[in-house]
Amino acid sequence: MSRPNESSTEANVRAVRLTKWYGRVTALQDVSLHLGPGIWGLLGPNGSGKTTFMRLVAGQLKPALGEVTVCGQRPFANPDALRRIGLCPEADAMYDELTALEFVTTMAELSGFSKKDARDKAAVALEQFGLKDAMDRKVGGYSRGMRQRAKLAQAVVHDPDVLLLDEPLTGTDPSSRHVILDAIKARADAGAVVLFSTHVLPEIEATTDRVLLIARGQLVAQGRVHEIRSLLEEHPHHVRVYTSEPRKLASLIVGVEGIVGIQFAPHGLELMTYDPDATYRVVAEKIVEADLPVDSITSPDASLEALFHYLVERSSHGAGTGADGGVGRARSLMMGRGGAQQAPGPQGTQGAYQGQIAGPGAGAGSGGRA
Amino acid sequence: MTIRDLGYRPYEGVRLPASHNTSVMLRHALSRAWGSWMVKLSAFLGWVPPAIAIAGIGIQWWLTQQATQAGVPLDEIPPIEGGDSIHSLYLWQLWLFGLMITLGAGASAISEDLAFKAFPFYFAKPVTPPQYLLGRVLAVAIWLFCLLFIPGFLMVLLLVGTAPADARLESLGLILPAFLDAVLIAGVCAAASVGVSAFSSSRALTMSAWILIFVVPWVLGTIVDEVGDWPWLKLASLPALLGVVGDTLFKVAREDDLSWYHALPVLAAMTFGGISLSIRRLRGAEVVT
Repeated sequence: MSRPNESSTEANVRAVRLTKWYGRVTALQDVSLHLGPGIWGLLGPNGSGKTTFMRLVAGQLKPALGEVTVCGQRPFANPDALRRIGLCPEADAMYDELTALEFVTTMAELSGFSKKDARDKAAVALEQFGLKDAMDRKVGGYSRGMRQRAKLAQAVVHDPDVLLLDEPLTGTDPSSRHVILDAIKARADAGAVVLFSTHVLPEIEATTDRVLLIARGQLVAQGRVHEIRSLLEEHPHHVRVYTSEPRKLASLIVGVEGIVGIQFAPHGLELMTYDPDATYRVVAEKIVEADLPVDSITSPDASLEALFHYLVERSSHGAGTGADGGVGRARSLMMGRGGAQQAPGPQGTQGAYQGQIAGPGAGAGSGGRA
Repeated sequence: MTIRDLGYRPYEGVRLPASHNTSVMLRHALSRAWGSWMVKLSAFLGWVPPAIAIAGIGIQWWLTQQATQAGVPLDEIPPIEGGDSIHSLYLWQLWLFGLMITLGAGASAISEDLAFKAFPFYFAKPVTPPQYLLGRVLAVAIWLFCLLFIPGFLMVLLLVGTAPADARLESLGLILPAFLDAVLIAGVCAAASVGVSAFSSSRALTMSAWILIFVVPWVLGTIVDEVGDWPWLKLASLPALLGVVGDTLFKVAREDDLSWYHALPVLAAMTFGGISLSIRRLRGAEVVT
C-alpha cells in the first residue's frame, strides 16, 4: 500500500476511518474502504452521507478525522490528485449563456491543458456523450438530458482515473441513458474507478452489481449484491414459485430442511429459507417428481432494492452514528481476494453492519470470509 | 466497447501548472460577463459620453482658433482644462455605465455560482478560492478599466494634438493620472461589488444591495454636506471618495474638507473588506483548498 501523497499508477480510492462533522452533526463516521477499478454504486437514503463522502473523495471537504486517498494521494488541496478526479455534481449548474464546447473547454483548461488541447479534448468528450452536433449551441437551449450529458463530458474531459457521478442519470431519456451508461462502462473498462450515486436502484442494477451502502453516516455494506445478501443471516431469503397448484406444492415441501416459512402469494407460493441454493434444488426436484405446472421460480429479495431495504431498515433500528449515539449489534463481515482483509477497525462503527469486498479488482467474491 | 473504441488516446502533451488557472478563470469570467446585457449595453453606449467630451474639446479648440485669428488676446480665451475634463468624464462613465458593469458582472458573480451550486465544477479541479476570486474580480476590473481608460487615453491624445506647442508635454503628462485613476476606480469597484455578491445566493438581493451601497451614501453625504456643511458622511460613499482621490490625481481644485489621505484608507478598507468577505464565503461553502 502506498503512503498518502505517494502517487499510485493504479486507479483506486482508499478511506481509513474517514469522518466528517458539520458542527455537532456527524455526516460521515469511521468509513474505511478500498475501491479498485470498475463501477461502484453508491446507495443510501437522503441525508445518509453519500454526498459528503463524494465531496471528501473529490477533495472539496477536509476530513475531520481519518483519511481519504485517491490513487495514493490525499485529494484535499492537492492539484496533482485533483487532476486524477472527475466530478459530475448533482446540481444543474450550467451557464446558459455559454456553449457546451466553451464550458467543457474551460473545465479542461482548469485541469492543466493548453487552450488548443483543451478544445480538442472537449470536442471529443462531448462527441462521446452524443453532443457532436449541439456542442456549439448555447447550453440555455439544451434539454435536461443534454445538459446532463454536457456535465458528464466536463467530468471526463481530462481522462480522470476516478470518476465521481452524483445522480448522473437525472432527467435523462432512455436514449441518453444508453449513451451515458455506455460511456461510463467504457471508462471503467479502461481501468477507472467509477463511483455512481443514485436513488434509482434499477439504474445501479443495470450498470453494476458492486455497491456501497451508506446509512446514517456509516458504511453499512460494500461488495457484490448477492454476496452482501448472503451475509444477512437474520433475514431469510424469499423464493417465489409461480404455479397454479400452490397448495399441492406446499404439501410436498412442508418439513424440508432449511425452509423456515411458507406463504401463499398471488399466483403461487412464497418460501422463506436460509439456504436458497438447497431450496431451489429441492423445490425443483419436488416439482419434477409431482409433475406440477410451474411458470417460474424467482427470488424477489435478491434484488438490490430488497437489499437496500433490509440494510437501511437494519441500520435505522440497530445502528447509530455519533450524531444520535445509537448502538446496535456489532458486526463486521469482510471478504477479499486471497483471503480476508480487515479494514482498520472502526471503533465508532459498533452497530454498523458492514459487509465489504476488498481488493483492487473487487471481483473478489472468491475470497474467504472473516 | 472500450474507451479506445471511443477515440480515447492517452494525452502526451504538457499539463500546465495549477497557477495557470487564474488566467483561465479570468477568461471564463470575462466571457460570462459579456453574457450580461448590462455589460453589452455599457460597452456599446459607453462611447457616447467620450464622444460628447471629445466633440466638446474639438469645438472649444475650433472656437479658440477662430478667436485667435480674430485677434482676441490669448489671455482672454479660457484654456481647455484637460485634467478636469478627463476626471469629469471618468465620473460620468462610472455613474452611467460603471455601475451597470458592476451590477451585471460584479454584484452577481458569486451569488449566481452560489445559487446554481457551481462551486463543485471549479473546486473539483485544481482551482483555489483566491484564484477563483481573482479571476472574478479582475474580469470586472478589466471591463471597468476599458470603459474609463480608453476614452481617457483618446482624450489625452486629442488634448496633445490641440494644445499649443509649449503646452503639449503638460497635456501628455495627463496619461499617468488618467491611468492611475482608471486603475483605482476599476480595482475598488470590482472588489467591492464582487464582495457584495458573496453576501447571498440571491442575485436580486446582492444587486439591490450594491445599488444601495453605491447610491444612498452618496445622496445622503451630498445633502448633508450641502445643507449642514459637514462633509464627513461622504466617507461612506464610494463614488465620492473616488472623486476626491481623482481630484488630487488630476490636480483639480475643489472646496472640500475631504482629502486623498482621508479617502484612500476607506477605499482600501472597502477593497480588502470585499475580498475578505468573498474568501470567507468561499471557505464557508466548504470548498476550500
